[in-house]
Parts: sequence; C-alpha cells; structure tokens
Amino acid sequence: MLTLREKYYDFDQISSKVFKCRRDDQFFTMKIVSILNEENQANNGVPYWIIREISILKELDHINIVRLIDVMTDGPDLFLVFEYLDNEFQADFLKNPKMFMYPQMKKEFLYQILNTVAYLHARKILLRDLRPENILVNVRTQVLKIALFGAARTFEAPLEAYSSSVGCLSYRSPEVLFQFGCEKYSTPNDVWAVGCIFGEMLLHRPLFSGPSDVELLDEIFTLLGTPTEETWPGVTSICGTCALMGPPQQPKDLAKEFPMLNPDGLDLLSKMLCLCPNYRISAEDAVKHPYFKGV
Amino acid sequence: MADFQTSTHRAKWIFSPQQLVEKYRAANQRAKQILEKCGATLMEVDVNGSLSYPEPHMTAKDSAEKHYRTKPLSIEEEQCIKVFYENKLQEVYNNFRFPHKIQATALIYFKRFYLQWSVMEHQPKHIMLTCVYAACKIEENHVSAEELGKGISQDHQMILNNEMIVYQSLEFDLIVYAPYRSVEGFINDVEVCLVGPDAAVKLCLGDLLVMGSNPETASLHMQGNSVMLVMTSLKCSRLCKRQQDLKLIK
Repeated sequence: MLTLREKYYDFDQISSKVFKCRRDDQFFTMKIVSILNEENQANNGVPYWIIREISILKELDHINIVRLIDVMTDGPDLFLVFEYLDNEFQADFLKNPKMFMYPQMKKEFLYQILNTVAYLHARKILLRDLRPENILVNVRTQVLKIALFGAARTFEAPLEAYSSSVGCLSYRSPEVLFQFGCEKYSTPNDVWAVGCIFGEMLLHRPLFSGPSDVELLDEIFTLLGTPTEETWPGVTSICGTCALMGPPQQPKDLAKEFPMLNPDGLDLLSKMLCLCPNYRISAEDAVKHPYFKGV
Repeated sequence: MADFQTSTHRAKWIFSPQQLVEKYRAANQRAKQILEKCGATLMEVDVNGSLSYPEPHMTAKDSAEKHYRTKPLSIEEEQCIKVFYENKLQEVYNNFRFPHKIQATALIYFKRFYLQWSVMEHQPKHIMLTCVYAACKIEENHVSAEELGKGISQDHQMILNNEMIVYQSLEFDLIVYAPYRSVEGFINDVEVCLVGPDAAVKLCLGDLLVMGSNPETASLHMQGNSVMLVMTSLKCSRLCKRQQDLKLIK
C-alpha cells in the first residue's frame, strides 16, 4: 500500500490544516484531521463527526457536493483528500458581493442547493447543518458546492430520536427548536434551512437571527404567525410549554416583506417556511416548482 | 440508507464465490509466509493504526527447530474460527441489547476485515469487539469504548488500538446494507397472513438473524435482502407445513 508521500506530492499550505497537493497531473485539496489531539477523544478513538463525514461522502457523487477522493492515515493524523476547488470558489457564498448582481443568479444557486438536498434525501441522508458558510460558489461558472458533512447522518423509517442541538441556530427549524419530545425530525428540517438561505439571499441579511432558542422562535412567529392546532396539528403537545409559544401573533404578508419576489417565488418561500414539518414542501417537489421555470 | 445501486457496498464489496476463495487464500498464504519467516504471525497494532509484523529471528537454533514450530491454520480452520466469533458477536449484541442494525453492521465489518487479513495476523476476538464499537459509531448508538470494554470484561484500549486498522481495512466504506428492518415488517405480515394474531406459532426474528448471518460468505456475494428472503422463505415453508400438521391433528 502506498504511503501518503508516495501517493501525493507538491504540498502547498492553504491554511493551518488544509493543503493543496498533486498526484500525476491532478490537483487535490487535503484536509488534515488530528485524531488523538481532539478534545475528549482520548477514550473514544476517532471522533464521531469524522466517521460520519467520511462514510457519507464516500457514498456520494454529485456535481454540487465536494467530492471525497481518498482517505489516508499517517501516524495520529487522518488525511482527507478532496477534489480541488480553485480560488474562484468562495466559501460563505452570501458574503460574495457579486452574488447579488443578477437576480437570475440567486434563482440558479437556490435551484442547485435544492437539487442537492433532494439528491441527499433520496439517499436517506439528512444534512442537519446547512448554512451559507458551508456552501462554496464559483460566480463565473455559476457552480455551487456543498461542503462539510460533519453533522450529516443517515436515517431510516421509522425515525429515531436524533440530537436536537445540531446545526447553526439561525437555520434551525421550529420542530428542532421546540426540542421537547420532538427530536424525531427529518428531511423538512433541511428544507427549512434552505428557506432561510433563500430569505437571506433576498434580504442580504439573516432571515432569523435570535441569540437563543426562545428569541429565535419569537422571531419566526413574528414573521410567520404563532402555530395553532389547525396550522400545525399536535403542536401544543410537542411544544410542552406555552412559554415557548409566546403571545399569539398573526402571520405577516410575505409579499410586503419580500417585494422583490414574484408570486411563484412567494409561494415557494412560504411552502419552504411552513411551520408544520408535515405540511412543508419536500426538496424534490421544490425543485419542480414553477418558480424555477427556465432554470 | 443511501442508494444501494450507487453504493460502495454494491460497487466494491460483492464478490463471486471464486473471488472470495482467492482472497481467503491470499491472506492465509501471506500469514503462512510470515510464520515461516518470523516464527509468529500476530501483528502489533498502534493506537493510530500503524502495523508492525513480528521481527524475523532465524538463528541456527531456529532453523534446527523449524519442524517443531507452530503449525499454520488451513483456510477451513480459519473459516471455523471466524464463524465461532460471528456467533460470539451475537452474544455481545444480546448482552448490550443493541438494535438489530448494530449486529448486522458489525457482522458485515467483521466479514470484510477478514477478506484482507488472516485470523493468524489479527486476534478475531479483538477485531470482533472493535467491529461492534465501529458499528455503534456509524449507526449512532453512542457507547464509549470503556463502557463496551467493561460490559464484556475486556480492556477498552485494545478496542481503540484496533479501531483505525479496522477502518483502513474496510477502506472507510462504512455505510452497509442489511435488510433487517424490512424483514421484520415482512415477518409481521407473514405472521398475520399465515397464522393469525392469536396463534401460538411465532416466527422468531432472532433465529432468522442467526441463520442469515452464519453462511460465511452470504453477505459478501449476495445482496443482503436476497440472503434474508431465502432464509425467510425456508422458515415460512416450515411454518406452513407445521400449520398443515396441526390441522391434521385437530
């Protein structure tokens, strides 16, 4: 079996743990993960998130997902070899000023995100931590790549209880924020995150940004209204405490909040940000939405 | 799980019976050569997965005593040892009351590991426990190595030392397909159709799991659901026959 140095060469440091390297005439990105130095891992070997990321990425082959090419070990370090993305790929894609030059570009990128999420859900994979920081874009070629699968996991039916402390707070769905007896979340959680990203693309700021679960829920209900048994069957039993619900609020008119959106766009956004996970649009259906006609 | 048609399981880990025989032979042959050269075969495994073979020590005395050396295992003997530990794996699974999928995943890991290695090179007991630990991680049934070690009175450091070599040997293809969940549903349907809810005759899923896992190579050259359907149909045909016998007695 070839060693790391025999297989890859011309190492060029990009950041503290990321290198550019070569094999034959191809370039790759190499991410170094120290196994033994990880906090609290002394008694648990290889960290869970690494195992999760590797095992899931090994199964995937999609143009909008950063491809894992190889996994090598050398001493106490793991080397994850990914396809090379040149400097034109910018992380945290919403911070790229060119993103907002053409309205069609936003639609194109949203379509690519939804298409990728639909691909993952079809393969029974939940992303759980979808946010702009994990999305890289090449504005020139208009190609988008989703990276970082550390929080992703496979799921089966019937659903099991998963951790409710997963993902960036701003992009967490109401069912995850409620936590009480509601850890059996599934694919709608990822669709909610895409809805938040869509809103952020349009407003040039995070759609919801509360610093805590309760404040974030309040922000969500301020925009979308407080859920009731009619709009979200079983919400009162899920919620567990009325304190989280706050005073009843009426939903705002999304057309006034997002004047830049046409009726199709408003329809898609409202379906992705539907409070009840069971009524929320699936990624597969969202890709087929009339809003994407002509993409 | 992810899509089986495009999975690493289908692309890389399903072999013809002939290919399996060749792999077992190659591993066995390598271990025999090391035994010949070094007088021992067990490899030292470091916590980071680094391997070292026993040091060669062919002195004149060693050469003279060559005939009295440890005899290598045959391929058939290796298979017997593997089957023994596959059954032991089920005992561990029962002790911890893990879900079926942990047992299924660990079993597949164990089988795959010994496609690359001989039981003479790596202690099957250690590998079996490491496979259970790895399966717990991948199936998100969080259990610490210490907990697992304590539960079966083993040093958990041994599990951690072998973890990386197991992942490397599996080529990090850790998502595997075992159809126990669907078989469970199928059995429930069969019970209702054939027997009725109040009947005394019960299809035992546990029996099925053991039957499905024991044919040494089944999960390596058949899709998991094929194995389980064969086992289930055998079980069902016996059940039907038993029902007919009961009717005759009545």
